[in-house]
Amino acid sequence: MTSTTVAAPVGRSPARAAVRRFRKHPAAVVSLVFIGLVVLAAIFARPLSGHDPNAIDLLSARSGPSGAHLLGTDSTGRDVLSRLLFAGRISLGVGIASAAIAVVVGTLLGSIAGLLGGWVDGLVMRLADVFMSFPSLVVIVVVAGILGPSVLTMVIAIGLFQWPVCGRIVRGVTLSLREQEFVLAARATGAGPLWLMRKHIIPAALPPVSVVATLAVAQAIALEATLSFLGLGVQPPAASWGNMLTDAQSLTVIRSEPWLWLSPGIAVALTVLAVNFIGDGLRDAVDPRSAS
Amino acid sequence: MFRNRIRTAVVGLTVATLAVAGCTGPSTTPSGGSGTAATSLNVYLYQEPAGVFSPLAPISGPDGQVMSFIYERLLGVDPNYKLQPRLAESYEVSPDATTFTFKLRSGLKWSDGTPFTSKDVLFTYNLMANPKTTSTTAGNYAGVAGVKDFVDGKATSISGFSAPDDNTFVIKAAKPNFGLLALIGSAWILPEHILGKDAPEAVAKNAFFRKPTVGMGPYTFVDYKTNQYVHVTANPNFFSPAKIKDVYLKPMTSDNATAQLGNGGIDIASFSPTDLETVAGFNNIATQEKPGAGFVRIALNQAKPYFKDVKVRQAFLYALDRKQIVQTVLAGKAEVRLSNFAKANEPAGLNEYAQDVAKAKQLLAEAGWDANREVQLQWVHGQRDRDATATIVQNQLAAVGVKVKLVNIQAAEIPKTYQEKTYDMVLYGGGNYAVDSSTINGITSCANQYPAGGNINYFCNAQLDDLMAQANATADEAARKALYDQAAKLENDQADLMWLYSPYGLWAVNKKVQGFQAPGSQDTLFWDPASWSITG
Repeated sequence: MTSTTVAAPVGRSPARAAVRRFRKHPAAVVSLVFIGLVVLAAIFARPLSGHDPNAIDLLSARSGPSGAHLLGTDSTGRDVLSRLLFAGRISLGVGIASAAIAVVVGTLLGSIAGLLGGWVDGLVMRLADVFMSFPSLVVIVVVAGILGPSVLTMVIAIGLFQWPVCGRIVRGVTLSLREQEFVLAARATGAGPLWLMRKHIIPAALPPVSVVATLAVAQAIALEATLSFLGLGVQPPAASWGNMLTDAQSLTVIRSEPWLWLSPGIAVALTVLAVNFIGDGLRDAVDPRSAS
Repeated sequence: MFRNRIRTAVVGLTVATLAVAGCTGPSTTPSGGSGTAATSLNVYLYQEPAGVFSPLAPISGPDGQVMSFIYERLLGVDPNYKLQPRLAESYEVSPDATTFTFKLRSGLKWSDGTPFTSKDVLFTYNLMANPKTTSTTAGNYAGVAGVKDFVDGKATSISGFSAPDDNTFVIKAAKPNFGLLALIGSAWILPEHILGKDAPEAVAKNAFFRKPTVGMGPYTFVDYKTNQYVHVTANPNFFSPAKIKDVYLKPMTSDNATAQLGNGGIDIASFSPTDLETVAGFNNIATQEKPGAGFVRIALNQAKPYFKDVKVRQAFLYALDRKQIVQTVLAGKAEVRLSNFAKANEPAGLNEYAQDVAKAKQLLAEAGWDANREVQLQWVHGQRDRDATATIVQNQLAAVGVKVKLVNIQAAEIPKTYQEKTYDMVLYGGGNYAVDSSTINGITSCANQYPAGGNINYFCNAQLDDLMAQANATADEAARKALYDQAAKLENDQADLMWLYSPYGLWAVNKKVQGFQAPGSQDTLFWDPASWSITG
């Protein structure tokens, strides 16, 4: 998006217009600020928390929020705040990495399908249908069961299940561009599919894809939390918001030790909500038809 | 869903009707008398039963708990892990620990009225020892005289089992083996008049085991409604008739059971240490605790050269603060183990291996431990106490300079790591070493190294094997105890395992229930349900 900003006249470029439209979406702006803070907190986790997230302290296990431990300690006396912040790194990392996989795979396959058409198009789109028709959570659980749970397996699995959404959008953009005269001209002068992808298709698909990617991040964060909660994602002692919530599987803990599950629960909820708001804001911003 | 709900409602109504009947029915004899007051009791099962209530089938916690209501055995194991005569009135062990003679109670009848004799016992033991019946415990009977010839096809019957008269049953061991009594003396006795016509290969598949309505137990099986309950009713022919008429054993989640303890939906349930406060808060509930028969431990693979040195093994124990682990992780509801021997059977003066970081470091230095070596600790994730313990062990070993990587492994992959001797450390638990110390041999002796036996840490000490064998060949109690005490001291010094703790079985019991004695864990058999009663 920024590359187009440079060439366009000041104040009138589509990008500028998009930014203006985004700023009219207060929830999205607040969310963007919030996510920025979350990212900063995750990056500066150590100085902010002042505790090693894996250091146990058996004598102060399960103690509530206090001056020494702002958000209390867990069942082996680890500081909940520092685990929450370090967990942010993993949760955001998994979200972004798997969304990136989805976008790269989706863009590649979508543009190939759109450009080449014919049986290739049919094959890729049927493949997309197959991926979309599987209940992804069940398949990921099975994969984790077979390969053994790890962050890498989880990122790849989540990414692979999210590419079809992106792939379809890119294919749609490609199909509409393919018949445009500037593309025909490029082709006539000998441009190959790769050149077309790089110069025309990807720039044109970027705005809608960025919306999809944002929503994919939100979905991946929620999915990571679910998998880790089930013990199939991030492995202990590493913390993730999902596996911090596993403590909340007992009624007694839910009732009498809320600090164990409230903070990771709120972190997941707010982050996913914020990323979704940003996605909404982006959608309105990059779609000129929704401009008022 | 909807249909389930209707079913639940119907069950609820039925139970309610029974309860109402209990209140309004003609209560002529409030206590004693016939001994079967019209009352019912709801007991929690921690898992759904497999539904095959057979002593031949693989051991399953919930099915076993149901079986403890409907079957009976020669000797029972009481909550203190002592053998008590049940169908046997008394038993005798010959001085050379080879002949075990059981005198049965006279005049006993099966729940259907058929007389019970030593022939039923003989029939059952021949089934249990015969691998063709798919008996999963057949291996336990290998020590009986004649079993080997029978299994090899050299004999048509097992010479070690005999029933000289209707009230006597005799077991002869192939060689002195006191532990045999505890190992096979408590098999559930099956009715020959029901199952006797089946060939040994077919008997395990008999439909009887899905609806075993004839038994010698205090209760008789009525029915099993999947996902709902197993219903058993008092057996009038039992030698000491049950005081509560109907018992419903209900499988459900622990959380659900805890909630239902409070509202009276469940009268007896095990619970986890985390729920202690909640359960203690119920006015209508009393709690009981009992040390378990097994223990949670970490095995150090002594096929690896760096765990062969006893100093390393001792250092690993000194590195841990096991008392604090029990306090923090299990709310104090467990006992720290000092050896494979149960607390009640262990001699005084064992090394406690109280946490001593300096000593651990010194021992590691003497053993030449490589500070750059990273060892893996594998365990099956999912049990709260073990998950927390793994984390703590990693931290406390790091403090003495041992790098540990936690590896969360699938249960199905574990045997492979034993077979190939590839693992470093494994955290696991279970076993029963409390009834008779001879069972410890199964996890310590050189001959029982995996896969021949349960010695998965590949420990081997000829002197210990010798002491254990001598003790097991001694019928005299004091002499046997003296030998086991020597063995325990040696084993404690050798640190063959990183013994961690024996979790207590924690049980919540409605105060209206009398006579319940807590078993040592959620999956242990119930003891003498006939003696339970309800007041008020």
